[in-house]
Amino acid sequence: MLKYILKRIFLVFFVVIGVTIVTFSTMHLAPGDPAEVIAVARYGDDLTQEQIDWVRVTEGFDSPVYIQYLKWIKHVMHFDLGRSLVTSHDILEEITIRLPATFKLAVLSLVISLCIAVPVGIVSAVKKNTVIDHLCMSAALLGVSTPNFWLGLLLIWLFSLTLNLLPSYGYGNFEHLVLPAITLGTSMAAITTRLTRSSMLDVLNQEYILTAKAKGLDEKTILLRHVLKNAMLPVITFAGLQIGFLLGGTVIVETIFAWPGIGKLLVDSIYARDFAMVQGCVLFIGILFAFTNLLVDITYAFLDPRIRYENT
Amino acid sequence: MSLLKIQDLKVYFNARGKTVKANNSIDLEIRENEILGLIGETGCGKSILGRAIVGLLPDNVKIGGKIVYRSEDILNLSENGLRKIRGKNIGIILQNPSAALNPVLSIGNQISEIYRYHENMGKKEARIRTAKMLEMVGIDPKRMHEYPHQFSGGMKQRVMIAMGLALNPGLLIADEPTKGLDPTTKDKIIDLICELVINKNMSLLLITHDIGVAEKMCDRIAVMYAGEIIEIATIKNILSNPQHPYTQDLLNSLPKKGLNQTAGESPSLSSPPAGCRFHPRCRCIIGKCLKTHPQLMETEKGTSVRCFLYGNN
Ligand SMILES: Nc1ncnc2c1ncn2[C@@H]1O[C@H](COP(=O)(O)OP(=O)(O)O)[C@@H](O)[C@H]1O
Ligand code: SF4
Ligand SMILES: [Mg+2]
Repeated sequence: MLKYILKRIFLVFFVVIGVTIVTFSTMHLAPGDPAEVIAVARYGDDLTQEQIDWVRVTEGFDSPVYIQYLKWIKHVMHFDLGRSLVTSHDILEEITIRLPATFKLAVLSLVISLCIAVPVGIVSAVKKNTVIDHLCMSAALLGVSTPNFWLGLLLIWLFSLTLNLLPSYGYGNFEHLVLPAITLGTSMAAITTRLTRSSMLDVLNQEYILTAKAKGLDEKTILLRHVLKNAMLPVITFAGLQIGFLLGGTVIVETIFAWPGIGKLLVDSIYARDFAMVQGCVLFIGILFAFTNLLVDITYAFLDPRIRYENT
Repeated sequence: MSLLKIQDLKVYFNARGKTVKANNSIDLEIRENEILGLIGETGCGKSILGRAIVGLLPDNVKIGGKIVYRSEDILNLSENGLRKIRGKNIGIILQNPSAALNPVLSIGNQISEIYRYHENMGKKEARIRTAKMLEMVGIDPKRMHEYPHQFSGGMKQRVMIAMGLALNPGLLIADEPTKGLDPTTKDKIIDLICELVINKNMSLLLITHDIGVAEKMCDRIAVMYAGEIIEIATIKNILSNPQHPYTQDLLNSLPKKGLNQTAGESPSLSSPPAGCRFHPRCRCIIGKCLKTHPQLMETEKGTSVRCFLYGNN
């Protein structure tokens, strides 16, 4: 297993390098002169050529691209992502301030999603092609095809405007978290339910389930001992991927509920043309995603003996 | 004494609007302490017959007839009653051991759960029994914590044997236990199964592709063709005097490998040939073979054949 983990870490290393290159390029491959873009953000639309040249020299845009990249990497490695073009705040600090909000929302939505999806998916599979299964799958289909923004607005309308039970936006206590977490959680649950069901059905059709039946074990024992452990492997992987996505901020839901997470920071920065901040966010999200994936891979190794006892 | 008696067993699949007659009017008896071989080409319904005996058929199946074990008709049992028979009275080794073992449970757990479930044993006691069982099939009990992927094909088959015999059932069904194994391993596995079956006074239904294996181990041999038994005879009779043309072809092919030595295609089970199922491939065909379906009839002591060439069929 050590070999497997080392291999993954090695891979993540390359992924992170890739992420930095892509992030760096977005700044430079974007149409227009980056010096001009920054100058606009800094001095407004009425620019003189001197101002642009000044930015070009001070920001190092006159040196070759690879030198610029290496310089930037050096800063990044010292946890220096630069400063916002608009507010001059430290970018990493801005991001880490937003992290708790995003983290809370991510974890609660994932918990909600799994609490719905796993039991429903299991029941659906066990009661395959019955009314219960059809109901569950119709609900899941509805969930998949309902856009987040629409569900969010619907929930706001129902719970905030009509019933007056929960705040419609903002950040603070648990009540603020409920609606955005339900919006995200239920929409994710829809996909995870389908995955759980198909994974269960896949395992139920395996020959080792027939062996378990041939031993005379009862349904419950077979389900708990033989089916679940196998069927949950892909679900866990998927949940890991989802948490990776969620930690990168959920642009739509955070925007609808004015939730001050990383997704909202990213959107706000795009509107403010704060390219340095956008670059910082994208880099941060990319690296976070790579590391959550690594974590998922390692967890998977612990759960699947075929990897755990891989010959090294 | 008969241990298992199958009467007029019909197993029909409903697959995409067509009826696949996987087992058609099977009559078969397995006696106490007997090793009965079941041979026939791929797709003729051998595995389905084996699985029908323990009530392990897919959902899309219609089943009729009788399968009487000792005095109980298995087909009349509830799911609960079936569970008590499975493992305890009838053990089955399914074909393809690499797919038949759960990849995420240690092999020790996969054996000991049988004791824990059927005999309500504690963990420790079940583990001791598991160790004994592993030793019996020639696996170092220390390996009980290992997982299926850490075992070779032959070793996996030994694990399957240990599982099938864990509760000393009266009947063991072994479905192609030597398929995919190299010749040396094959011999060892067959010797192991037969030794255990004989020592424990059990009966064995040995489903096999390998007529050499059947010839070596079995007391009687049943030959299946297109979902039917076409000849059943003692090993002595079948070797000295094979009667059905298909059986003769099979035995003539013995020095070569495999069973598919008869010219022509395997018959379809959804629209089998009229008359004798074998007539399109038969070299002895006579007039009525085309229209009339022959019955399985005793032609001499210890031999029954489904063919118009013999007896008063
Ligand atoms: N689940 C199923 N649905 C429809 N037909 C099936 C199913 N399982 C097996 N069959 C059919 O039953 C026949 C007998 O299969 P089987 O007993 O596995 O043959 P074999 O003699 O090779 O063991 C095959 O022709 C196969 O097409
Ligand atoms: S009944 Fe006729 S066709 Fe069938 S095996 Fe005998 S001779 Fe051949
Ligand atoms: Mg088979």
